[in-house]
Amino acid sequence: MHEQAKLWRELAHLALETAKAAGAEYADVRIMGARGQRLFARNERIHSVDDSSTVGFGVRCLAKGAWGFASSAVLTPDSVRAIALQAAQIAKASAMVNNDPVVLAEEPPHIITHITPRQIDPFSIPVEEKTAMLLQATETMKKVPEVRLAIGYISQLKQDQLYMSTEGSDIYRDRLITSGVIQCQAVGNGERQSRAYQAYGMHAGWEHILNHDFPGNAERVAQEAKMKLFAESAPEGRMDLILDPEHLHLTIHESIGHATELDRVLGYEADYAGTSFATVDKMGKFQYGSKIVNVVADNTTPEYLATTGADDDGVEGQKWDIVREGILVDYGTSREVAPKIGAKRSHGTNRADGWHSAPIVRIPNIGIMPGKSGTPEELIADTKDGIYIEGAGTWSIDQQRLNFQFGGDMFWRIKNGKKVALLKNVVYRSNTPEFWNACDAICGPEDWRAIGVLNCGKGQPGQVGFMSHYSSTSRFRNIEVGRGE
Amino acid sequence: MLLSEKEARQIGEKVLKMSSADDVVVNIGHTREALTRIANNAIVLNVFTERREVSVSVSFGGKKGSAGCDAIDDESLQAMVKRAEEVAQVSPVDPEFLPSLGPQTYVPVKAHFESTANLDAEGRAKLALELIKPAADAGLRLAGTVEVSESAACVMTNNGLFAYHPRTDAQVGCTVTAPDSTGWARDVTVDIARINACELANAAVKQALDSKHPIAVEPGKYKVVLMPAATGHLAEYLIWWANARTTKEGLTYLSDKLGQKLADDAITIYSDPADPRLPSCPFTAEGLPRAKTTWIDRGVFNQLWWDRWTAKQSGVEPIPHPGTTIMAGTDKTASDLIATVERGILVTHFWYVRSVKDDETLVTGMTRDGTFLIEDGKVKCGVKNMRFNDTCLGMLARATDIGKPGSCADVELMPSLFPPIVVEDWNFVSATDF
Repeated sequence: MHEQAKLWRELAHLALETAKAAGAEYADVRIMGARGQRLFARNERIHSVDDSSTVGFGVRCLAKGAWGFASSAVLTPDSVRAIALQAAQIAKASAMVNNDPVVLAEEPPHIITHITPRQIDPFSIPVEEKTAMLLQATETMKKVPEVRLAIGYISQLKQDQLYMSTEGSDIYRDRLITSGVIQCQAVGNGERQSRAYQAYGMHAGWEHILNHDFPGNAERVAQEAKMKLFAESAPEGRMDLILDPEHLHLTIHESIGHATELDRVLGYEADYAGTSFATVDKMGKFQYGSKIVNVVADNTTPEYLATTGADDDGVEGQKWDIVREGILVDYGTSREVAPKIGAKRSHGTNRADGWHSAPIVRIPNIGIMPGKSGTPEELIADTKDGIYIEGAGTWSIDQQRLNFQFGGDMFWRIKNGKKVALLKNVVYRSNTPEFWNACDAICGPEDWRAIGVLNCGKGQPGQVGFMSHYSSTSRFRNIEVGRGE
Repeated sequence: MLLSEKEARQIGEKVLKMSSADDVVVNIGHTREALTRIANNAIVLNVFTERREVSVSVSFGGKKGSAGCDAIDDESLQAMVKRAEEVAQVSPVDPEFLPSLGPQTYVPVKAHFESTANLDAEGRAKLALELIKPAADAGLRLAGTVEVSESAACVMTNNGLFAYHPRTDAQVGCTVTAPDSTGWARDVTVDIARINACELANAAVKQALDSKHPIAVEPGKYKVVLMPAATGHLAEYLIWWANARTTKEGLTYLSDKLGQKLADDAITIYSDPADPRLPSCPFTAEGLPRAKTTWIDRGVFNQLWWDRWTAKQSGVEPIPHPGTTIMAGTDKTASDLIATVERGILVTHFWYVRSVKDDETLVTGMTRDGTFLIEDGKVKCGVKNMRFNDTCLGMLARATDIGKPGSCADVELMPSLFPPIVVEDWNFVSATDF
């Protein structure tokens, strides 16, 4: 490791010196090595086990106020020089079409070594132990006759990255992400239904998988899929919703996380992921949610997926308010876009998904702070007519992040404070500020938990983003519910 | 320089020699891609990436493992082979294991164009300027991309198969933003010289201007004219779900409908790797040939895509998932179709389409950029975007008229050729604020 870091630093220095000599006003370089192991079981067989690695580097230059980026997997001095030169040339070509030169928010140089938490190295666990665990889970699910398809999946991703900039930052990151899922699909009673149990992505080791005990949960998952075949159809009309954190993570992601990415607010994503209704003129006065809704971004808690020590702008991880007592107060920002709203410092949410990608503004770890409404059981007991939704299902939202329709994974009808029946095929439709202003109860810290996202798509070229979303079970009054027809 | 056939063969042979497994498949990929991104009438991102990827799948008596890397030096390749073999040695025997393919015959495909491969950053900047000018002249803001790539794909097995496919790809597209409306256009092909950036920008500008001050219409069932990207976005789901294995497991819409006539005679969807506008790779990562295939033939849904194991169990030939999907059409323009609609909605493209119940082909999504009210055969005005809940199958089953196919690509639509179509009773369930 020491030898690798030394070699990478020499190459990084070479890239920065070459870019400066070629006319770059600012340059940074990221050298990354990653290894991913993915195991996939389908019914009674191991479908695939893949163990792949990647090493490469990317150089980003600012010349005449415009960006250029070039990258390669060939880590030799000649290649590093050529790519750094190419990045500078691309920046100069960009300057041909630039009416608003980039001004980066100030950031002091940082020397950081950031290692994400782990107890057990997942790569040290024998493959046969992992495949046996997956097969035990899928075979258990398949014993339920209605189950036609049972799958199990485990992924481990290790990324080492060195970031260095012409401003003097030297940031080394050693990151490990572990995730897994078991899921089944059942057929019967003229229906097809599925049920999943997830070890959502987290900065953690193999202990994350063990804690979720896939074999021990397989029978429950299969039985719940079967139960859904015989569940009542979703009612139609307006009623109260109680949403658990596993469900809410997607609602938060889509209707708050993306809506408060400042680059999309400013039109950078207009041709792809879209813009945002949460425009800059609303900052400090827009009633995004009810007074109990406090949304905090936190890129400092080690287990969360967007906590990486510093972002790919070299900005140290921070914690800040996005919505305070229901009012929109801030955004996720990069050094490029922060000054456009008068901010002196970026919040550090500029991230790339690999050595081959240029960083863009990504959703930070973001979520709802705990409330004072006790436990989910107490919240259900306090609800006269509603639906309790667990887990994530279908989801869709308009490009400005207003009109949405979400489903879930398990649905329970609540009548007079009790769960009285299992439902199927429930969707609800709302509009972002209407929905968050309808939030009248948030459970306490004992129910609060974080869910990791590993498949957030954004950018051209497309990139995936990783982040975590936290919340406690919450209630939303008088929301439109239907069957999605 | 793009990895040549000779170089690819040398790497493949080297990897095959490094492995002691009974069965070995090597995949080699080389991509040089560049993308210039525009927002607010300026270039905001400009990237070039070169990637070489090698992967190997090995088997010892049906015990499988695979590994990959992106370096082609001997040490890296050796380490990759070792990792794949270590995984395979401790994996359970795959009861569905089939030996890798031997030599195959592929459809000849011309997909590599120097015009695309040679477009540098300055050339992309010039195209960006061509895109921006019409928007800037109209006082509007344009966001978009100029994208080009040059790539090679290679498959080699220790049973004698060798396949190599060089290609280029080009896409230019934009979204134009006016104070309360937007317009969108995008084109895709293999030869950048065939894309007219100025024409695309003008089309997007016209849509943005024509849809200004959009009115809200009541959700409900409307006759719609779906432009090519909208048609393609939903139709491709039907092909994706036509998976033989899951269909036989009772999990897809075709489990109880295969072979049935579910749409009008005018509905035919096929794939053709040799299509001159959008050629696709004539083989899969396993080396299976992709031939011209009809998926929906004059309204009859009679074709699934078959993996090798499921095909063998069923006594049929394997047919891979297609590269480029094409829907047959007529010579009618979108204007011809609009002229037949007394009252309806014109949809330029869809956004964030997600399955609600895929065994019923039920999906939800939003209209986006250029949604119009049609009255008396003419586009009357822009309307605020709406959410739909409807079935992909219903879209084809209720299609009443079809126009001329055009190349299209979108956020979640692979390059394909689809026509504009007229559909009865499209189910809009809610509207948004813009």
